[in-house]
Amino acid sequence: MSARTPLIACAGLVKSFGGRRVLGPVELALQAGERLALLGPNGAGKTTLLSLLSGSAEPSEGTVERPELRAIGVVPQRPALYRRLSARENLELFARLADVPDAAAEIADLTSAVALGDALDRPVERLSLGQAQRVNVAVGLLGRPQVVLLDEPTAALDPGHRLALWQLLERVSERGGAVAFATQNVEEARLAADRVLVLVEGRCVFSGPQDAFWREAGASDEAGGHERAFVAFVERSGAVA
Amino acid sequence: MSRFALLLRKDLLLLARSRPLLVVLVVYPLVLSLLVGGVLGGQGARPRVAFVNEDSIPDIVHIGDRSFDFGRIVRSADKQVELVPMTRPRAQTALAHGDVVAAIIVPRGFVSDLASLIASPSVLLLTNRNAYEDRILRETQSFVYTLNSQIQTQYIQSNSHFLDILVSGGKAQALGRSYDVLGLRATGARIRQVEAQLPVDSPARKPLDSITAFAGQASAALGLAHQALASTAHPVQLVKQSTNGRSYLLGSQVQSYGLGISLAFVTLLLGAAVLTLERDENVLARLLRSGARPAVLVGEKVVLCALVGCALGILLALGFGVAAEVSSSGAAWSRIPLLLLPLAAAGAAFGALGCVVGAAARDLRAASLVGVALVTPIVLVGLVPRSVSPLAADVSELLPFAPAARAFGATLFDSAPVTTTLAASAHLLLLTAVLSAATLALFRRLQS
Repeated sequence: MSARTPLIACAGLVKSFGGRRVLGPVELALQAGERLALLGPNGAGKTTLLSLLSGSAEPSEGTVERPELRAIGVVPQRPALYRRLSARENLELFARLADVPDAAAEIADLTSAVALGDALDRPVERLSLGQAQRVNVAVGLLGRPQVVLLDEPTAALDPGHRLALWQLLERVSERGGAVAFATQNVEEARLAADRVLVLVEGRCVFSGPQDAFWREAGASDEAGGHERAFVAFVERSGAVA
Repeated sequence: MSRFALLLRKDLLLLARSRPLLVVLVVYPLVLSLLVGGVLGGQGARPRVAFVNEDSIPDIVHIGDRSFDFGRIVRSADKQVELVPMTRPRAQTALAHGDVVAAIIVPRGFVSDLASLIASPSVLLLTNRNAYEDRILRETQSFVYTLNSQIQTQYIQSNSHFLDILVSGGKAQALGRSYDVLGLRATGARIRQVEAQLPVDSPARKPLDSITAFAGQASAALGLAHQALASTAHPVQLVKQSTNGRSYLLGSQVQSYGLGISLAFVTLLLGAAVLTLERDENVLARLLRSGARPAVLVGEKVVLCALVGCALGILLALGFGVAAEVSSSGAAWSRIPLLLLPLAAAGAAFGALGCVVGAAARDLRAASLVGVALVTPIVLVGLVPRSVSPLAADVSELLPFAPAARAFGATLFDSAPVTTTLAASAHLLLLTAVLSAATLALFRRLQS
């Protein structure tokens, strides 16, 4: 793919369940090196959009252009791990299934980046939620995927590990990958994303650069200003709908 | 290592780490073996049979000048079944209440009918439908046969005695009166004495010579008839020997159904559980993204169930064998390795059915409940004989239990098991393919 060709894109993307539209239409194109924050209240359709982009679900309407499935790293909100296997066994299993070259070195690199330490050889069911989530992230990043899609990846992480995660995702975009993550945390979006897509009740109410969004939302630099501006923006968008 | 092998290794590892499941897999066959042992042991016990002696027949019965030991015949039957003396009304009540499995009735007038040589006396057998029905019928037939044989022997000995008297002379009894019989040999001797007193040229000598010759010929002929009578009484003699061979009928059914039911429960639930587990652990999408195609995933679950089916089935067969040995009904040890093919086929078929349940159910609990709910009707419909309901028999052929039980029964107990075992195993593998395809179709529906 050339530098101008998006790594992942969708057009007219719609998802309906039983005739009821829950998402869309959504237009999106994510270029190499970009980091997109999906913002929106609960039930806005962020997880559905990530599922459609990752290929885990089929759209009701519209198209998704994406690289092959193995080139997309997915980190679901709930850890997708075998609880009776250790963190290492989970990582090794998914690395071997995906034919990751030099799996041992990559596992060592990722486990170091997410700071698993001695939790690596414990069964996942005996790990804390935060530790399990770090294993979950590490498995999602196996094979150096071109596109990484994360659903509220920091929900169970302490500040130190949140910071480590954003640094890890920065490495993905630095090597030419694209990252999209759903979050409820406005400050995280400001810290880790350069683009924002806002969903309200399944509708895309904003998609563009982060600076443009905050200007449109009318955010101020005072404490909690961005969060208040976001809530007001969502309320206005909902009222418009 | 291929993706298939990686997934299989992972599932075996998960199985090994699931202690409650392992305990069930080990304890279940042991408990079932004990139950089967109880059934096989019960099979060796003597069933209670009411014995109604309405003619008050004594131990020794006299017919004419002969006697036979009726008590010995009854005692002989008593080794196979427990004969309980009763009156006819009590026997009928006991039979109705299930206290006895049959009643043998010797009716009034039995001995007088026997002595008359005009009417054949009857022995009445009352029974109800129970597991021992065939066995009781055989025992009663054996009882009547022994009775007939003894009476026949007595009659032949009696007739043979008459022949002896005809040849050698002596006292004979007939129709309640006693007679002196001269005998052919004495007749010949007396004629020769009379002939010796006649003149040499007497015309009476010639007819007397012919009578003497006839007496000699008749005497010789009757001597041969005596031997012929004895040999025709027992043209073939049956020598009964008791061995510790397998108790075929009940034992084979119990063992093949025991294997079938165990595999149905364990592998169907396992198939449902391992497939649902991928969703419960939230890893299904991740597996598919890693390159594990749905067909590989379903095939691996089916093979896992086949492997577990083999291990469980062999463990059960060994347990049944020990139980059969303990109950002295004998085990089919040499056939156990031949079970591997039908066990694998049955485990795969039940596992594939479990996968259908797993793909259709929303979570592990629902899959387990549906699995348990499915096993009972599948087993029950497989137990209905074709003679009772052809429709049920046809339906059971579309499900794994009936062909599995047929394959196990043939493998363990048929004298020539290859054709039936191969046909039933092929049947199971066909079901496996159809059910796996159904699972894949459900999979695709879930993804859409």
